[in-house]
Amino acid sequence: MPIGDLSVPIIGKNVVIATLVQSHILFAAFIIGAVLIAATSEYMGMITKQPRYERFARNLARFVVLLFASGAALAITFVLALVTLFPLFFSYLQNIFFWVFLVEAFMFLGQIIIVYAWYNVWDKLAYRKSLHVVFGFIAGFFGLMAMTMIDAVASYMLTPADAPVTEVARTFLNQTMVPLNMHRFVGNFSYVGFLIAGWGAFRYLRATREDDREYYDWMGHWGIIWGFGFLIIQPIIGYGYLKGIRESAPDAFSTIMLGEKSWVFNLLAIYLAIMSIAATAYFVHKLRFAVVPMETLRKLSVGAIGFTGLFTVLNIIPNDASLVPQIGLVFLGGEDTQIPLGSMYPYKYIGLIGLMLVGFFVIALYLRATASGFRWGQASRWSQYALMVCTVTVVFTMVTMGYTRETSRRVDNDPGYLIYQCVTLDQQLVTKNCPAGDSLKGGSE
Amino acid sequence: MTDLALLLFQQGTTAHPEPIGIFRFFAAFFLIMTFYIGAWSFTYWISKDE
Repeated sequence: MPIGDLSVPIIGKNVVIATLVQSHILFAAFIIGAVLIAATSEYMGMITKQPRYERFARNLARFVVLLFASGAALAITFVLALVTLFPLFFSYLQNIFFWVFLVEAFMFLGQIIIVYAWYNVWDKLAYRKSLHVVFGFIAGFFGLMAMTMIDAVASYMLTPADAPVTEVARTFLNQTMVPLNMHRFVGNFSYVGFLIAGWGAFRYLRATREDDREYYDWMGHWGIIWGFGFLIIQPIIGYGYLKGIRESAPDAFSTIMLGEKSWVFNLLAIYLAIMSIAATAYFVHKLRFAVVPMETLRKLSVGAIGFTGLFTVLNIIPNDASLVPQIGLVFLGGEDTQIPLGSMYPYKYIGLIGLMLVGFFVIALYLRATASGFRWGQASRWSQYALMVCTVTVVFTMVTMGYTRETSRRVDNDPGYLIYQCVTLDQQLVTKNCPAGDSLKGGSE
Repeated sequence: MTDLALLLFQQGTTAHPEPIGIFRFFAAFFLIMTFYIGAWSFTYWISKDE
Protein backbone atom coordinates (compact mmCIF):
# COMPACT_ATOMS: atom_id res chain seq x y z
CA MET A 1 0.00 0.00 0.00
CA PRO A 2 1.51 3.40 -0.92
CA ILE A 3 2.18 5.76 1.94
CA GLY A 4 -0.06 8.82 1.84
CA ASP A 5 1.48 12.14 0.88
CA LEU A 6 -0.26 14.48 3.28
CA SER A 7 -0.18 18.20 2.73
CA VAL A 8 -0.93 21.12 5.02
CA PRO A 9 -3.06 23.93 3.59
CA ILE A 10 -1.86 27.53 3.41
CA ILE A 11 1.45 27.24 5.25
CA GLY A 12 2.61 23.94 3.72
CA LYS A 13 4.16 21.03 5.57
CA ASN A 14 7.71 22.37 5.51
CA VAL A 15 6.64 25.32 7.62
CA VAL A 16 5.04 22.97 10.15
CA ILE A 17 8.34 21.15 10.65
CA ALA A 18 10.36 24.39 10.65
CA THR A 19 8.12 25.98 13.25
CA LEU A 20 8.14 23.02 15.61
CA VAL A 21 11.87 22.33 15.30
CA GLN A 22 13.00 25.94 15.60
CA SER A 23 10.79 26.48 18.63
CA HIS A 24 12.02 23.25 20.17
CA ILE A 25 15.67 24.13 19.58
CA LEU A 26 15.23 27.50 21.27
CA PHE A 27 14.10 25.69 24.42
CA ALA A 28 16.42 22.69 24.15
CA ALA A 29 19.46 24.95 23.72
CA PHE A 30 18.32 27.01 26.68
CA ILE A 31 17.91 23.96 28.90
CA ILE A 32 21.32 22.49 28.02
CA GLY A 33 23.13 25.78 28.46
CA ALA A 34 21.17 26.84 31.54
CA VAL A 35 21.80 23.59 33.41
CA LEU A 36 25.55 23.91 32.85
CA ILE A 37 25.61 27.60 33.75
CA ALA A 38 23.51 26.95 36.86
CA ALA A 39 25.76 24.09 37.95
CA THR A 40 28.84 26.26 37.39
CA SER A 41 27.23 29.09 39.34
CA GLU A 42 26.39 26.75 42.19
CA TYR A 43 30.02 25.66 42.22
CA MET A 44 31.13 29.31 42.19
CA GLY A 45 28.85 29.93 45.16
CA MET A 46 30.38 26.98 46.94
CA ILE A 47 33.96 28.20 46.55
CA THR A 48 33.43 31.98 46.85
CA LYS A 49 30.75 31.80 49.61
CA GLN A 50 28.84 34.57 47.83
CA PRO A 51 25.10 33.87 48.31
CA ARG A 52 24.08 35.49 45.01
CA TYR A 53 25.53 32.55 43.04
CA GLU A 54 23.44 30.11 45.05
CA ARG A 55 20.29 32.21 44.65
CA PHE A 56 20.91 32.49 40.92
CA ALA A 57 21.68 28.79 40.42
CA ARG A 58 18.62 27.65 42.32
CA ASN A 59 16.26 30.03 40.52
CA LEU A 60 17.67 29.06 37.15
CA ALA A 61 17.32 25.35 37.99
CA ARG A 62 13.70 25.92 38.98
CA PHE A 63 13.03 27.73 35.73
CA VAL A 64 14.62 24.91 33.76
CA VAL A 65 12.38 22.39 35.51
CA LEU A 66 9.30 24.47 34.67
CA LEU A 67 10.39 25.12 31.09
CA PHE A 68 11.29 21.51 30.39
CA ALA A 69 7.69 20.64 29.58
CA SER A 70 7.48 23.18 26.75
CA GLY A 71 10.68 21.96 25.13
CA ALA A 72 9.73 18.31 25.48
CA ALA A 73 6.18 18.85 24.20
CA LEU A 74 7.52 20.56 21.09
CA ALA A 75 9.98 17.69 20.53
CA ILE A 76 7.26 15.06 20.68
CA THR A 77 4.98 17.12 18.43
CA PHE A 78 7.81 17.55 15.97
CA VAL A 79 8.51 13.81 15.77
CA LEU A 80 4.79 13.16 15.31
CA ALA A 81 4.65 15.76 12.53
CA LEU A 82 7.73 14.31 10.87
CA VAL A 83 6.34 10.76 10.91
CA THR A 84 3.02 11.99 9.55
CA LEU A 85 4.19 14.47 6.93
CA PHE A 86 7.50 12.91 5.84
CA PRO A 87 7.05 9.17 6.48
CA LEU A 88 9.47 7.96 3.78
CA PHE A 89 12.16 10.39 4.83
CA PHE A 90 11.71 9.40 8.47
CA SER A 91 12.06 5.73 7.47
CA TYR A 92 15.36 6.47 5.76
CA LEU A 93 16.57 8.37 8.81
CA GLN A 94 15.54 5.49 11.06
CA ASN A 95 17.38 3.01 8.84
CA ILE A 96 20.56 5.06 8.99
CA PHE A 97 20.39 6.34 12.56
CA PHE A 98 18.29 3.87 14.53
CA TRP A 99 21.01 3.42 17.14
CA VAL A 100 21.62 7.17 17.35
CA PHE A 101 17.94 7.87 17.98
CA LEU A 102 17.94 5.11 20.60
CA VAL A 103 20.89 6.63 22.44
CA GLU A 104 19.32 10.07 22.11
CA ALA A 105 16.10 8.81 23.72
CA PHE A 106 17.99 7.40 26.70
CA MET A 107 20.09 10.55 27.06
CA PHE A 108 16.88 12.55 27.10
CA LEU A 109 15.47 10.23 29.75
CA GLY A 110 18.64 10.56 31.82
CA GLN A 111 18.51 14.33 31.52
CA ILE A 112 14.92 14.46 32.75
CA ILE A 113 15.61 12.21 35.73
CA ILE A 114 18.78 13.99 36.83
CA VAL A 115 17.49 17.56 36.27
CA TYR A 116 14.43 16.90 38.40
CA ALA A 117 16.47 15.07 41.04
CA TRP A 118 19.03 17.88 41.06
CA TYR A 119 16.42 20.50 41.79
CA ASN A 120 14.46 18.41 44.28
CA VAL A 121 17.39 17.46 46.51
CA TRP A 122 18.73 21.01 46.75
CA ASP A 123 17.97 21.29 50.46
CA LYS A 124 18.58 17.65 51.23
CA LEU A 125 22.15 17.90 49.91
CA ALA A 126 22.80 21.36 51.37
CA TYR A 127 25.66 19.96 53.42
CA ARG A 128 27.01 17.80 50.62
CA LYS A 129 27.32 20.59 48.11
CA SER A 130 30.02 18.95 46.00
CA LEU A 131 27.77 15.98 45.35
CA HIS A 132 24.90 18.28 44.48
CA VAL A 133 27.03 20.23 42.00
CA VAL A 134 27.99 16.93 40.38
CA PHE A 135 24.27 16.20 39.92
CA GLY A 136 23.96 19.43 37.93
CA PHE A 137 26.94 18.65 35.73
CA ILE A 138 25.68 15.13 35.06
CA ALA A 139 22.33 16.59 33.98
CA GLY A 140 24.24 18.92 31.67
CA PHE A 141 26.29 16.01 30.35
CA PHE A 142 23.15 14.06 29.44
CA GLY A 143 21.81 17.13 27.63
CA LEU A 144 25.05 17.53 25.71
CA MET A 145 25.01 13.87 24.70
CA ALA A 146 21.43 14.17 23.46
CA MET A 147 22.49 17.22 21.45
CA THR A 148 25.49 15.32 20.06
CA MET A 149 23.25 12.51 18.83
CA ILE A 150 20.86 14.81 17.02
CA ASP A 151 23.79 16.79 15.62
CA ALA A 152 25.00 13.61 13.93
CA VAL A 153 21.64 13.38 12.17
CA ALA A 154 21.43 17.09 11.33
CA SER A 155 24.99 17.24 9.99
CA TYR A 156 24.51 14.07 7.95
CA MET A 157 21.49 15.65 6.25
CA LEU A 158 23.77 18.39 4.89
CA THR A 159 27.03 16.48 4.44
CA PRO A 160 26.37 12.75 4.12
CA ALA A 161 29.51 10.70 4.59
CA ASP A 162 31.27 9.40 1.49
CA ALA A 163 30.67 5.82 2.64
CA PRO A 164 27.86 3.27 2.83
CA VAL A 165 25.53 3.93 5.74
CA THR A 166 26.59 0.60 7.23
CA GLU A 167 29.93 2.19 8.07
CA VAL A 168 28.76 3.42 11.42
CA ALA A 169 31.71 5.56 12.49
CA ARG A 170 31.98 7.46 9.19
CA THR A 171 28.25 8.00 9.10
CA PHE A 172 28.15 9.27 12.66
CA LEU A 173 31.33 11.33 12.36
CA ASN A 174 30.43 12.77 8.98
CA GLN A 175 32.36 15.79 7.71
CA THR A 176 30.51 18.51 9.62
CA MET A 177 29.40 16.62 12.71
CA VAL A 178 32.21 17.79 15.00
CA PRO A 179 32.20 21.47 13.92
CA LEU A 180 28.41 21.61 14.17
CA ASN A 181 28.52 20.10 17.63
CA MET A 182 31.20 22.56 18.74
CA HIS A 183 29.27 25.45 17.21
CA ARG A 184 26.14 24.49 19.12
CA PHE A 185 28.00 23.71 22.35
CA VAL A 186 29.52 27.17 22.44
CA GLY A 187 26.34 28.75 21.08
CA ASN A 188 24.25 27.32 23.93
CA PHE A 189 26.33 29.17 26.52
CA SER A 190 26.27 32.40 24.55
CA TYR A 191 22.53 32.21 23.91
CA VAL A 192 21.65 31.44 27.53
CA GLY A 193 24.10 34.05 28.78
CA PHE A 194 22.44 36.79 26.76
CA LEU A 195 18.97 35.62 27.85
CA ILE A 196 20.06 35.73 31.50
CA ALA A 197 21.53 39.20 30.96
CA GLY A 198 18.29 40.45 29.41
CA TRP A 199 16.19 38.92 32.15
CA GLY A 200 18.43 40.45 34.81
CA ALA A 201 18.11 43.84 33.08
CA PHE A 202 14.34 43.57 32.91
CA ARG A 203 14.08 42.69 36.59
CA TYR A 204 16.61 45.37 37.53
CA LEU A 205 14.49 48.05 35.91
CA ARG A 206 11.42 46.83 37.81
CA ALA A 207 13.13 46.22 41.14
CA THR A 208 12.14 48.47 44.04
CA ARG A 209 14.21 46.99 46.86
CA GLU A 210 17.89 47.83 47.11
CA ASP A 211 19.00 44.21 47.55
CA ASP A 212 17.03 43.22 44.45
CA ARG A 213 18.61 46.03 42.44
CA GLU A 214 22.05 44.81 43.46
CA TYR A 215 21.23 41.20 42.69
CA TYR A 216 19.72 41.86 39.26
CA ASP A 217 22.49 44.27 38.34
CA TRP A 218 24.93 41.46 39.13
CA MET A 219 22.79 38.99 37.16
CA GLY A 220 23.01 41.16 34.03
CA HIS A 221 26.80 41.28 34.43
CA TRP A 222 27.05 37.50 35.01
CA GLY A 223 24.88 36.79 31.95
CA ILE A 224 26.81 39.09 29.63
CA ILE A 225 30.12 37.50 30.64
CA TRP A 226 28.77 34.13 29.46
CA GLY A 227 26.99 35.60 26.46
CA PHE A 228 29.74 37.79 25.06
CA GLY A 229 32.57 35.55 26.28
CA PHE A 230 31.32 32.62 24.23
CA LEU A 231 30.05 34.76 21.35
CA ILE A 232 33.56 35.88 20.43
CA ILE A 233 34.66 32.25 20.00
CA GLN A 234 31.84 31.56 17.54
CA PRO A 235 33.30 33.15 14.38
CA ILE A 236 36.31 30.82 14.34
CA ILE A 237 34.21 27.71 15.04
CA GLY A 238 31.64 28.89 12.50
CA TYR A 239 34.45 29.30 9.98
CA GLY A 240 35.50 25.69 10.61
CA TYR A 241 31.92 24.57 10.12
CA LEU A 242 31.55 26.53 6.88
CA LYS A 243 34.86 25.11 5.66
CA GLY A 244 33.43 21.62 6.17
CA ILE A 245 30.29 22.56 4.24
CA ARG A 246 32.35 24.10 1.42
CA GLU A 247 34.40 20.93 1.01
CA SER A 248 31.54 18.44 1.25
CA ALA A 249 28.54 20.33 -0.10
CA PRO A 250 29.98 23.11 -2.29
CA ASP A 251 26.67 24.03 -3.93
CA ALA A 252 25.02 24.42 -0.54
CA PHE A 253 27.95 26.57 0.58
CA SER A 254 27.64 28.79 -2.49
CA THR A 255 23.92 29.22 -1.91
CA ILE A 256 24.29 30.57 1.61
CA MET A 257 27.59 32.42 1.23
CA LEU A 258 27.59 33.76 -2.31
CA GLY A 259 24.27 32.97 -3.91
CA GLU A 260 20.61 33.86 -3.49
CA LYS A 261 20.55 33.20 0.25
CA SER A 262 23.74 35.05 1.13
CA TRP A 263 21.62 37.72 2.77
CA VAL A 264 21.37 35.40 5.79
CA PHE A 265 25.04 36.05 6.48
CA ASN A 266 24.55 39.78 6.02
CA LEU A 267 21.83 39.48 8.65
CA LEU A 268 24.21 37.53 10.88
CA ALA A 269 26.85 40.25 10.49
CA ILE A 270 24.28 42.86 11.54
CA TYR A 271 23.31 40.77 14.59
CA LEU A 272 26.97 40.33 15.52
CA ALA A 273 27.48 44.07 15.19
CA ILE A 274 24.53 44.85 17.45
CA MET A 275 25.55 42.35 20.14
CA SER A 276 29.25 43.31 20.06
CA ILE A 277 28.66 47.05 20.25
CA ALA A 278 25.91 46.76 22.87
CA ALA A 279 28.00 44.41 25.05
CA THR A 280 31.14 46.55 24.73
CA ALA A 281 29.15 49.68 25.56
CA TYR A 282 27.80 47.90 28.64
CA PHE A 283 31.33 46.99 29.72
CA VAL A 284 32.50 50.59 29.30
CA HIS A 285 29.58 51.79 31.39
CA LYS A 286 30.14 49.16 34.06
CA LEU A 287 33.80 50.05 34.45
CA ARG A 288 32.69 53.35 35.97
CA PHE A 289 31.44 51.39 38.97
CA ALA A 290 34.56 49.37 39.64
CA VAL A 291 35.40 49.32 43.35
CA VAL A 292 38.99 50.17 42.49
CA PRO A 293 38.91 53.05 39.94
CA MET A 294 40.17 51.80 36.56
CA GLU A 295 40.17 54.83 34.34
CA THR A 296 42.87 53.48 32.02
CA LEU A 297 40.97 50.25 31.42
CA ARG A 298 37.86 52.26 30.76
CA LYS A 299 39.59 54.47 28.20
CA LEU A 300 40.99 51.40 26.49
CA SER A 301 37.48 49.94 26.35
CA VAL A 302 36.15 53.16 24.80
CA GLY A 303 38.78 52.74 22.08
CA ALA A 304 37.67 49.14 21.69
CA ILE A 305 34.12 50.31 20.88
CA GLY A 306 35.55 52.27 17.98
CA PHE A 307 37.43 49.24 16.65
CA THR A 308 34.38 47.03 17.16
CA GLY A 309 32.35 49.47 15.06
CA LEU A 310 35.02 49.54 12.37
CA PHE A 311 35.29 45.75 12.08
CA THR A 312 31.54 45.20 12.17
CA VAL A 313 31.11 47.65 9.30
CA LEU A 314 33.56 45.56 7.27
CA ASN A 315 31.45 42.48 8.02
CA ILE A 316 28.16 44.14 7.10
CA ILE A 317 29.10 45.54 3.67
CA PRO A 318 27.47 43.20 1.13
CA ASN A 319 29.50 41.62 -1.68
CA ASP A 320 27.24 42.85 -4.48
CA ALA A 321 24.08 44.87 -5.05
CA SER A 322 21.77 41.85 -5.08
CA LEU A 323 20.78 42.11 -1.44
CA VAL A 324 17.65 39.99 -1.00
CA PRO A 325 16.54 38.84 -4.46
CA GLN A 326 13.55 36.95 -2.99
CA ILE A 327 11.81 40.24 -2.14
CA GLY A 328 13.25 42.35 -4.94
CA LEU A 329 15.99 44.12 -3.00
CA VAL A 330 18.30 44.27 -6.01
CA PHE A 331 20.06 47.49 -7.02
CA LEU A 332 22.38 48.78 -9.73
CA GLY A 333 22.55 45.62 -11.80
CA GLY A 334 22.47 43.20 -8.87
CA GLU A 335 25.19 40.56 -8.88
CA ASP A 336 27.13 42.38 -11.62
CA THR A 337 27.82 45.33 -9.33
CA GLN A 338 30.56 44.52 -6.84
CA ILE A 339 30.55 46.76 -3.76
CA PRO A 340 33.96 48.08 -2.60
CA LEU A 341 35.21 46.46 0.65
CA GLY A 342 32.45 43.86 0.37
CA SER A 343 34.36 40.81 -0.79
CA MET A 344 34.89 37.83 1.49
CA TYR A 345 38.65 37.85 1.00
CA PRO A 346 40.29 39.76 2.58
CA TYR A 347 37.75 42.15 4.09
CA LYS A 348 35.35 39.75 5.82
CA TYR A 349 38.26 37.80 7.23
CA ILE A 350 39.82 41.02 8.53
CA GLY A 351 36.45 41.99 9.98
CA LEU A 352 35.82 38.68 11.73
CA ILE A 353 39.35 38.21 13.06
CA GLY A 354 39.47 41.84 14.16
CA LEU A 355 36.13 41.50 15.93
CA MET A 356 37.35 38.45 17.80
CA LEU A 357 40.64 40.05 18.84
CA VAL A 358 38.93 43.21 20.06
CA GLY A 359 36.34 41.05 21.82
CA PHE A 360 39.03 39.09 23.66
CA PHE A 361 40.75 42.35 24.56
CA VAL A 362 37.58 43.93 25.93
CA ILE A 363 36.48 40.94 27.96
CA ALA A 364 39.98 40.53 29.36
CA LEU A 365 39.84 44.14 30.56
CA TYR A 366 36.39 43.60 31.99
CA LEU A 367 37.35 40.41 33.80
CA ARG A 368 40.36 42.23 35.22
CA ALA A 369 37.98 44.82 36.69
CA THR A 370 35.59 42.08 37.83
CA ALA A 371 38.35 40.56 39.94
CA SER A 372 38.39 43.64 42.15
CA GLY A 373 34.60 43.96 42.18
CA PHE A 374 31.87 46.44 41.22
CA ARG A 375 29.45 48.58 43.17
CA TRP A 376 26.15 46.87 42.35
CA GLY A 377 22.75 48.46 41.96
CA GLN A 378 23.93 51.70 40.38
CA ALA A 379 23.80 50.84 36.69
CA SER A 380 21.97 53.26 34.40
CA ARG A 381 18.81 52.41 32.52
CA TRP A 382 20.39 52.52 29.10
CA SER A 383 23.02 49.96 30.10
CA GLN A 384 20.15 47.61 30.92
CA TYR A 385 18.51 48.38 27.58
CA ALA A 386 21.80 47.35 25.94
CA LEU A 387 21.52 43.97 27.64
CA MET A 388 17.91 43.58 26.52
CA VAL A 389 18.87 44.44 22.94
CA CYS A 390 21.46 41.64 23.08
CA THR A 391 18.77 39.23 24.29
CA VAL A 392 16.38 39.96 21.41
CA THR A 393 19.23 39.87 18.90
CA VAL A 394 20.57 36.51 20.06
CA VAL A 395 17.13 34.92 19.56
CA PHE A 396 17.00 36.28 16.01
CA THR A 397 20.53 34.97 15.46
CA MET A 398 19.54 31.47 16.55
CA VAL A 399 16.50 31.45 14.28
CA THR A 400 18.43 32.85 11.31
CA MET A 401 21.27 30.36 11.67
CA GLY A 402 18.85 27.43 11.97
CA TYR A 403 17.12 28.59 8.82
CA THR A 404 20.48 28.97 7.09
CA ARG A 405 21.57 25.40 7.70
CA GLU A 406 18.27 23.94 6.60
CA THR A 407 17.75 26.12 3.54
CA SER A 408 21.28 25.53 2.24
CA ARG A 409 20.25 22.04 1.10
CA ARG A 410 17.72 23.53 -1.26
CA VAL A 411 20.43 25.08 -3.45
CA ASP A 412 18.39 26.05 -6.54
CA ASN A 413 15.32 23.98 -5.58
CA ASP A 414 15.96 21.78 -8.59
CA PRO A 415 15.54 19.62 -6.63
CA GLY A 416 16.01 20.67 -3.01
CA TYR A 417 17.22 17.95 -0.68
CA LEU A 418 16.26 16.55 2.70
CA ILE A 419 19.51 14.56 2.73
CA TYR A 420 21.92 16.39 0.48
CA GLN A 421 22.09 14.72 -2.95
CA CYS A 422 20.45 11.57 -1.55
CA VAL A 423 16.80 12.25 -0.63
CA THR A 424 14.85 15.03 -2.35
CA LEU A 425 12.32 17.37 -0.74
CA ASP A 426 9.52 15.19 -2.09
CA GLN A 427 11.14 12.21 -0.34
CA GLN A 428 12.50 10.52 -3.47
CA LEU A 429 15.69 8.54 -3.14
CA VAL A 430 18.36 9.51 -5.67
CA THR A 431 21.54 7.52 -5.82
CA LYS A 432 23.38 9.07 -8.77
CA ASN A 433 25.46 11.63 -6.84
CA CYS A 434 24.64 10.44 -3.34
CA PRO A 435 27.92 10.04 -1.39
CA ALA A 436 26.45 7.00 0.37
CA GLY A 437 25.63 5.41 -2.98
CA ASP A 438 22.63 3.13 -2.98
CA SER A 439 23.21 2.00 0.59
CA LEU A 440 20.29 4.15 1.77
CA LYS A 441 17.98 1.66 0.13
CA GLY A 442 18.95 -0.90 2.73
CA GLY A 443 18.06 -4.42 1.65
CA SER A 444 15.04 -3.38 -0.40
CA GLU A 445 14.83 -3.07 -4.15
CA MET B 1 -9.15 37.36 -3.88
CA THR B 2 -9.74 33.98 -5.47
CA ASP B 3 -6.30 34.13 -7.02
CA LEU B 4 -4.79 34.94 -3.66
CA ALA B 5 -6.63 32.05 -2.00
CA LEU B 6 -5.46 29.70 -4.74
CA LEU B 7 -1.96 30.97 -4.31
CA LEU B 8 -2.04 30.39 -0.58
CA PHE B 9 -3.43 26.90 -0.87
CA GLN B 10 -1.11 25.63 -3.57
CA GLN B 11 1.68 23.28 -2.68
CA GLY B 12 5.13 24.74 -2.89
CA THR B 13 8.29 25.36 -0.97
CA THR B 14 9.31 27.78 1.70
CA ALA B 15 11.77 30.55 0.96
CA HIS B 16 11.29 30.11 -2.75
CA PRO B 17 11.51 33.39 -4.64
CA GLU B 18 7.77 33.53 -5.25
CA PRO B 19 5.03 35.23 -3.22
CA ILE B 20 4.01 31.95 -1.61
CA GLY B 21 7.56 31.35 -0.40
CA ILE B 22 7.85 34.81 1.11
CA PHE B 23 4.47 34.42 2.79
CA ARG B 24 5.52 31.07 4.26
CA PHE B 25 8.86 32.41 5.43
CA PHE B 26 7.16 35.11 7.49
CA ALA B 27 4.37 32.76 8.57
CA ALA B 28 7.00 30.39 10.00
CA PHE B 29 8.81 33.25 11.71
CA PHE B 30 5.57 34.52 13.23
CA LEU B 31 4.62 31.05 14.47
CA ILE B 32 8.06 30.39 15.97
CA MET B 33 8.00 33.69 17.84
CA THR B 34 4.43 33.03 19.01
CA PHE B 35 5.33 29.60 20.39
CA TYR B 36 8.53 30.93 21.93
CA ILE B 37 7.09 34.00 23.61
CA GLY B 38 3.96 32.06 24.60
CA ALA B 39 5.91 29.32 26.37
CA TRP B 40 8.18 31.82 28.15
CA SER B 41 5.22 33.89 29.26
CA PHE B 42 3.36 30.84 30.50
CA THR B 43 6.38 29.61 32.44
CA TYR B 44 6.87 33.05 33.96
CA TRP B 45 3.20 33.22 34.88
CA ILE B 46 3.17 29.86 36.67
CA SER B 47 6.35 30.66 38.59
CA LYS B 48 6.07 34.32 39.55
CA ASP B 49 4.15 33.92 42.82
CA GLU B 50 6.72 31.64 44.41
